[in-house]
Amino acid sequence: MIKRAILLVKKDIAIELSQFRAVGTIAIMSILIILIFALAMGQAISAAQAGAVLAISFLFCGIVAVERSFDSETQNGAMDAMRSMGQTDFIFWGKCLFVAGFLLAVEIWICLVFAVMFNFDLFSFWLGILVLLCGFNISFAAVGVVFSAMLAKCRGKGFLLTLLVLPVLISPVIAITSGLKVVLSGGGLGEISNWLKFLAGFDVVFVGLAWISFEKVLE
Amino acid sequence: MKKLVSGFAVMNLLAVGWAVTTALTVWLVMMYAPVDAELGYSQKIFYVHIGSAAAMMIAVLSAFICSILYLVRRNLRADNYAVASAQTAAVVGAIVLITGMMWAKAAWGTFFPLTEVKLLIFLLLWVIFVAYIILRNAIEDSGIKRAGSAVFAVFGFLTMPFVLFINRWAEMPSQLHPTVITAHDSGMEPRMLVTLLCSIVSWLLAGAVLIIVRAKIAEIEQAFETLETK
Repeated sequence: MIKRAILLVKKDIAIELSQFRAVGTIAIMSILIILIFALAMGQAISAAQAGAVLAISFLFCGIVAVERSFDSETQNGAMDAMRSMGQTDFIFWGKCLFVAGFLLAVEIWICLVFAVMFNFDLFSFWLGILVLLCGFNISFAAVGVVFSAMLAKCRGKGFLLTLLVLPVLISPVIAITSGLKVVLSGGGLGEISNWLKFLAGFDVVFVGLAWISFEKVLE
Repeated sequence: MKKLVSGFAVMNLLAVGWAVTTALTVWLVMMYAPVDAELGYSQKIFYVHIGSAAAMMIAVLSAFICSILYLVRRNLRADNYAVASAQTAAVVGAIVLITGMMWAKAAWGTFFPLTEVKLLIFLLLWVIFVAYIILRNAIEDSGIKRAGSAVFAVFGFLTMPFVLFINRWAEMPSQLHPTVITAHDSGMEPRMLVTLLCSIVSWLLAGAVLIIVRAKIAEIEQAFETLETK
């Protein structure tokens, strides 16, 4: 299963590197989102505002990334071919791994754009931000992969995915926004331990649930 | 056909109970319950608000249980009841939110105090069930529609405990929502308590009737579709 999942990740990376479809869209979209915030709020922003701007950018760019995760599988009966291999667990884990990694890359890019546009020193807080992002991405990837697989062949997929993912992910979004506020105010990992435990709990429950329901959705 | 007719006796009984308790509640609210010394007549919203909130919680729980039943057994009846429960939760939830905002404006001076965890939970639950209905209408393939919406309902329901935890950690200011009834004390004037309990019973019956009626309509529609295809 692990071998197949890694093969799926390699395939998705190769497709993304050759076409630059999601990467290009997200790169431009993130610049525009942060530019709009910078123009509206000015460069002098508080830690709480910075956390909120980052969380919103992560969320909207992340949904675009998740939406594209089953694009290649919907063509030429690729999904049916993969399902004919017996177990479907490798599809879930492979997709989760790819989406979580892709989300992290997107978020690092957003942080860079944010640091430039707002002239905000994010590098000093890199460890706290990274730990929060990892906790957030696991839930985001698991929930996103299940809903994306469910809506893969539907019309208006982007709109529906936003409508479904946002209310379900509201708790980790509150957690990462509050955690970022503490980190960007100079707080250490100890001060965000409650939020990290919260994200970890959410990750465990939602990855488990997503794994169980993925098979049901594909049926 | 026998199966279709079997639930109507229970439904009729519940509907009669609903009509009687609703009439009684209206009389109790208007004539029996005293006017609150601080809030005046606006306190009467409370009887509708708490009653509809109880009905919404039952509808949400029913949607969650029926969705799990559908996922485990692929039972069409469970799916019908899950949809009916979700639709009831969305309708009753709108009443909870509207009466809650009216109450909040009268009691606390603001329509939507954002730091209120109970408000946040109800708004989120309502959004989830409205999204559920949109999802049902958006997907054409009936298999994906049923499984997908069941999975979404389970995900949505399990989000709630996390929102409760946020209250403890987010350094939210003290909550405005009063804890009306505790294990030892109702904290209410006895006549108000009687009115509130009658209102809750009436709303619970209303929720049950709405769920059963909606599920029965879906079953009858499916029976006709089956007949047409034959």
